[in-house]
Amino acid sequence: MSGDVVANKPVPKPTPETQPFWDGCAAGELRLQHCEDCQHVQYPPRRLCSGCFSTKVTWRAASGRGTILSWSTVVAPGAPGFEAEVPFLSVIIELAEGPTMLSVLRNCEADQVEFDMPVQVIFEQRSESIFVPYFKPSDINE
Amino acid sequence: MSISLRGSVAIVGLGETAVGSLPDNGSTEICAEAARLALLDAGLGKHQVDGLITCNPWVEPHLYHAEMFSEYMQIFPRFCMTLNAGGATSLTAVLRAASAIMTGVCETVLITHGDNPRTGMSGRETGQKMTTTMNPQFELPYGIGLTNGYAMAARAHSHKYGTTEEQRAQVAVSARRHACLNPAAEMSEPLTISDVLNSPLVADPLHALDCSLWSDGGAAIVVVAAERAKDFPNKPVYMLGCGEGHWHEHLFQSRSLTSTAASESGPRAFDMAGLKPEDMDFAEIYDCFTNVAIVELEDLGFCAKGEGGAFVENGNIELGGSLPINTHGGLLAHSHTGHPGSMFAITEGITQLRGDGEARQVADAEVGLVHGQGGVLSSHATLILGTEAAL
Repeated sequence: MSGDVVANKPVPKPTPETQPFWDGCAAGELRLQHCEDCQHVQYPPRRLCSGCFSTKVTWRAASGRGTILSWSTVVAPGAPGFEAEVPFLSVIIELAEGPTMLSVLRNCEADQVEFDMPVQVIFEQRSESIFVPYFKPSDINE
Repeated sequence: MSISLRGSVAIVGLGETAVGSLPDNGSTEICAEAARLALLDAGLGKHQVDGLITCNPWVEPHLYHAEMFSEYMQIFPRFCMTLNAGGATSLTAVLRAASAIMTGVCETVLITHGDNPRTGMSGRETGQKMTTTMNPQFELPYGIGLTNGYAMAARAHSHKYGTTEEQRAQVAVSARRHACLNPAAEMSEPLTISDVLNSPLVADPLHALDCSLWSDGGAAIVVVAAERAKDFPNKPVYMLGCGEGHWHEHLFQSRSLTSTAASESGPRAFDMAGLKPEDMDFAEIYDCFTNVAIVELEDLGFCAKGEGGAFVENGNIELGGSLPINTHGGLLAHSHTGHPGSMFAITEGITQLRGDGEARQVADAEVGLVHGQGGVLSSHATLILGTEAAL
């Protein structure tokens, strides 16, 4: 999903450990870290595996799919730049690979959200190089 | 070799400033006034304080807050620390004070917290400062409000356990009833369940009246070794147990949306005290939002997991019920002063155990629990306090 770049919304500033994640988003791909020693999958990115402290963590493309753990309608945004978008739906998602993630659900009315509803990632451009992962209800045929 | 902290220290002084709108006071002044009142209550001169624990306020933060405050007060402690565990700060301070006293680091610890977020910051500044608690890459870019985090936890709890919005509203109604008995509380008008449910949805399913106040104010206590407890003018209150649990900072990283680290901090405190939830005469718990009180009652063991909603019904958490909670009115109806908020839960617990609760006094109170929560259901700290008879 493309969109106009909104100047005053917060723009994530990648660090060396998170750069591959944001590179993935810019390439239209949600990437997660996998531990080669204990197979733990983690988000957000870390230098080490938070399951076993192994430093053998590698990046893999994730399915981009997950399910809704909970949601709430945002009428008072917690950051500048979102005033024109309210109301919108904050969600906590359990990704298919296991980690949980905070995001916003697009293309869905508040009365259509359900627990365990399948969702899939979409990306919204925030700056020249930063694309933020959002979600939308999964297409039935995909 | 470990030292048991059970009964090791006593709280021998308390001070509470006025709460609400204090436009003529800065955070540091409020902190100083609370400290002055606590030392007066304990009959102590400032030179007798050799330990100091503060917390950073929102309005006048300092990188070395406790050192700044000791300079302001011209007291020269040998144990000096600024703590930050959000709304759990005051509870974690008591544990650290007890540890410092029992290891001989210092003898007389002043714990003082004050802030003026209501009148000291514009709404815009408050919003900007609150965003500093969010993960800058993985939360902040979504523009989601802080209350929405608690709201998502409330919705998940309702889905899993059937907790109703009327049950959440009951927490606010009961808090208000207690506040109406406490002349020091900000709120003094009764509230009904329909008042809560008819108030605007600020972050569904939470209504405006499911949310706590936002206040100026501060409170302080003085902690000493139990052997010295009777050298002071007021009835001492002893620390029987303490415990903490820390699971996450950011809600989306929590191990659960429906359980908290109170399920660890509570049992740790009860184990130290050798007591059980049913032994408590009252509980002063963290009610920044109504759903938080419900989940804490479960996690602390006052009822089975998932039955917190039913537990708060029928006056059970009010004076005369099986477990009066937040007898001062809590964060919902007494005041929510930011990080100092839990200090009023501690001072209320002491007031009850001294028997000074007047119209809101719990009859024959000998032991009570105080609990604080910081972050978004993040840091949890529990204290069990008792009179000499409970030692």
